[in-house]
Amino acid sequence: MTPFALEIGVALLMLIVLGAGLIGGDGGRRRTGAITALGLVVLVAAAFTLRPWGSAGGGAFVSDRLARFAKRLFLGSTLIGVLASLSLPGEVFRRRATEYYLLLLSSLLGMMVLASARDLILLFVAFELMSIPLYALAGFRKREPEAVEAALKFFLVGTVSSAVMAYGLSFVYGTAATTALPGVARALEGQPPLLVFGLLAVLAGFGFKIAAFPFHMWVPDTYEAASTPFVAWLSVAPKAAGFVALFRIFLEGVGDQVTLWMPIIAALAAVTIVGGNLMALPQQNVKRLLAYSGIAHIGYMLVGLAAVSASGTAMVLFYLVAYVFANMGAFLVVEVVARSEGTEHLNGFRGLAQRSPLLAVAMLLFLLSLGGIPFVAGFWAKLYVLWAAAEAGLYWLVLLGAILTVVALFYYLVIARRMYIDPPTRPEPIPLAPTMALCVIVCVLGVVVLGLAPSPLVLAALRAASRLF
Amino acid sequence: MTSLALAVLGLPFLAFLLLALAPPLRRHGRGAALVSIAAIGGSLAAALRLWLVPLEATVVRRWEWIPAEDGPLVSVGLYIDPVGLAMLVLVTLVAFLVQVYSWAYLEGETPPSLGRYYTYQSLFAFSMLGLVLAPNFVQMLIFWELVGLCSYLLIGFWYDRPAAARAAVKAFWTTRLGDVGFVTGIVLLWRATGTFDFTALFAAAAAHRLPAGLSLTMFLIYLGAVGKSAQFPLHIWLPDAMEGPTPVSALIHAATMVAAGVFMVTRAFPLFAATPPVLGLIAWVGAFTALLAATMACVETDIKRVLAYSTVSQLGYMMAAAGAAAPQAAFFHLVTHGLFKALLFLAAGAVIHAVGTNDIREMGRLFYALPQTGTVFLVGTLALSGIWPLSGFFSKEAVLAAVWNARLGVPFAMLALTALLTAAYMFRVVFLAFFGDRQPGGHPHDAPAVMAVPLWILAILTVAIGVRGALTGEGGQSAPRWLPAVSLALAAAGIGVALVTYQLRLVSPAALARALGPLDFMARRRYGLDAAAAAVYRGLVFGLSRLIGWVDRYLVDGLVNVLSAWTLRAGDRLRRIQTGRAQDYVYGIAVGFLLLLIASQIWR
Repeated sequence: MTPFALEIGVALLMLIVLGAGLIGGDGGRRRTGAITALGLVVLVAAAFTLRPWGSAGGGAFVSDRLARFAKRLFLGSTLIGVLASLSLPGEVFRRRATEYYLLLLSSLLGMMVLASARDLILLFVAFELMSIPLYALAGFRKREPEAVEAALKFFLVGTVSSAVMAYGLSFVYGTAATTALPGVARALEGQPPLLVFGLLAVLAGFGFKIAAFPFHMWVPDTYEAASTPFVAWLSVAPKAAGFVALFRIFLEGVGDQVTLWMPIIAALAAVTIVGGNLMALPQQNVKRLLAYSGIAHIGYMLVGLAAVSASGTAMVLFYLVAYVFANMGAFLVVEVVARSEGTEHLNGFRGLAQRSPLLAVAMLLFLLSLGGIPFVAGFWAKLYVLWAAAEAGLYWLVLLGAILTVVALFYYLVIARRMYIDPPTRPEPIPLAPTMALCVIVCVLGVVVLGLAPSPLVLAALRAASRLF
Repeated sequence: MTSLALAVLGLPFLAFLLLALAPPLRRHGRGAALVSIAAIGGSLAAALRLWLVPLEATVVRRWEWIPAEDGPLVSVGLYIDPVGLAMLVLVTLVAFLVQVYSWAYLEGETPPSLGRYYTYQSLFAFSMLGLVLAPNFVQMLIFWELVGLCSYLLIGFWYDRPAAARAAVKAFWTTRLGDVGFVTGIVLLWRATGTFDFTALFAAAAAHRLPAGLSLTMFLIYLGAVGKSAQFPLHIWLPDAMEGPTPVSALIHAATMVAAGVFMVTRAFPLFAATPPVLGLIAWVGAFTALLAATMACVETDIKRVLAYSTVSQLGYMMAAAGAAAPQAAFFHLVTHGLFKALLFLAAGAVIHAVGTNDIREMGRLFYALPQTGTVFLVGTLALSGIWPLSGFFSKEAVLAAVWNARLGVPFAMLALTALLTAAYMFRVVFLAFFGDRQPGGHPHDAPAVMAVPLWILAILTVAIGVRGALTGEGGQSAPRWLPAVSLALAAAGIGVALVTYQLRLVSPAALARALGPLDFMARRRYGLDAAAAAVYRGLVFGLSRLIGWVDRYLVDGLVNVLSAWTLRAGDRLRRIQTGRAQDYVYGIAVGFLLLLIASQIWR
């Protein structure tokens, strides 16, 4: 089995979607979406059954356990995102459904290559392939000025950080005299200052992609303005891709030098947790609130990364999966409520428990998971990440992380209070499209099952991370 | 094997999930009842199937739950051994019969509250079965607490009655007090041995590899059983728990949940066996509880409370046997008692259903009005009194033999006296309520078939186990030869006392009470134990609560309010860096990069 099997699959799917869009005409909106979803179902199944081991291009592209774990995550979350997009009202697309799904798929292709890239050039190309469609997608509702503004900001900040990253890469190549990551890792022996400088520039570039503080500024504006199913996906999949690339560049094969990164990433984690949580507090718009809370979650994942250990890395992977279910689920519920109420304000959630009890329970589960309450997935994610940091001796970071979970609970429970304690403004239940219901159910199952039986995924994550060190 | 056991456990859980998550079904009432009854019926069938196949060895299945670096910290799983299987059959059988019985007993309830009742019942069945199947202390604790929660919910089922709500809280509080010991003990045991797992612990105990000085640990674990199985001095919650519906009393507060403490002691017996002082304490407390509760049962006039004190007393019997190093005798009595006490409660429920009062002084000659109920109540009474050849005779004899053989003279005397009192107070109820000369009001009639059939099944089983014991001579091998005669004589004496006092009226009860003056006075006031517990609760707990409340309100809240105000303000300030201008965002990247560089220089 060629190591590119899944990437070839995604490319084929893009061709099929393109063809279907060309011959589809006006009625093609639903069709291209359905074809994309079906194709992704096949690809998810393939990702869990095929064994595309090996490497290509002289080691520039590898398909190892980490890549496989990451690709399953990307494909799975994209499937949920596409399924949720199927229920978007027609005026969002305006006969541009084919473009929407094609852009989504090309970004997905970029992520998948990024997860496998072990060469700086391939890595940069994959990074751009992943990023550029996102700018277009963020401004997809182009008749709405806010969406255009948000997309423009996103694009500007994105290109600047890409430039910073490319600038850093030039230093890396200049010092290491190779673009192959194993060579870069070897060159780190003795910690040449220019190489460290270059890698820090790369870290800043990825800081933008994963939305670490203070590279996060595009996040709230973009999330608020873009269509929510896309945001649900944007808030998880590209971040996961960014983390996998960080593992490849900063941890894989670096050996003892890896402790160099510990204080820097720990500092980044600390400011991200504090910044994200504090800024989420005063938010009244649910999407902005989730945007800032997502930044805080990135901080927790950086805590796991700061442990620079196999278990820390594995726990970031576990965290990512838990986060996919909880965060996507929460965004999807927001979409359902906002579409019915016509507002993304917190007040839209008033009395949801009386209007649509099951939807309220689902949202409560997502919030509890995001808040890290036992026996839902997020609890184990936080516990394991902090555990890994404690093993690495970062006790101050563990303490800080633990304290700020309390702050996080405060704003999550504000939503829960709106749903359960405040009286509803209108009595009728909230309509729920079948595909959307399916997505919410999948997310609830993910959160609950991982919360009750985390061990299979923990072991899988440990296996995926085992070869990095 | 595993899948059957999972079916036993899973069916009630599925029923609970279905009822909890589908409000229309729950509010339908009768539909909810059918779902719940079908689930527990299936569970019973699976349990019987498991039980009928002879078990070669203990089967343990584990699934890793909380992975940790050196082996899983906690697993979940199934621990299947003969004792556990017998317990599974007992629990599913009684739960099934009680749920069927409740169908008719609770016909006056509104559909939503009936649905709520069956939702709790399903959750209870799941919790109790999970407790029985637990392969380690953590899983046992989780289900132990779930069982406690169900008990709370079901005692307070009629939550609009203040007495029921109060009783529910009292039961919860009192058992929690024991649970504090239980949790602490489990953690101490884990610190000493490094495992929660029964198999590993028992292997260590068998090889005498348990660390020394476990007495305090096992005492704390035993405290959990003191609360759950209503041992002195935490027995005070059980009589009040009779505020719940009678079928609940039959299932939870007679046959199954209160036996969980005894079951835990029998399950963990290898560990208790390693700490002889704790074992001795268990026996003494058990025997004392048995006697104390029996005296209180003699003066009680509420039929359900008589049975409740009798349950406390019989739980004391079981604990005494366990303390006398005879867990099999304890378990045997647990099973027989579970059946005939459920029978007595359900029969009492039928009586209450018919006459509309709990007070035995307002009943009389019911045997003629309710011949079926009277017959089965009499069967249960004879079994409880330990009359040959009913099941109670054999299990009681096994307990007495075990205590005698363990050379526990004083506890044996207390238990023997209890046997006499047991027969006396039970026949007091029989003579007052079912015979005598007082005519009850209204036109009481026998219960409908849905209620009568469970009664007859339990009565038949009580007789059948006894007859089987009589035919095979089981249980009595190690007993001294004089014991059956003595035990029968004691029971006969007790019946005699009740006969002359309450039926023939040769001695007036008032004269008897005067003769035993102070004892009667004390027993009527429950030896002041309830009052003492209430005083301790009010004085100590309320006092402490007030102090803590003050500290919380003024010191902690003050601090928290200041901190949260600062946090909110900080959030508001920080929000202002989000200007919305793209150039500021780009500055953010530059600043961030610079900070990274500075950080890397500081921490070289």
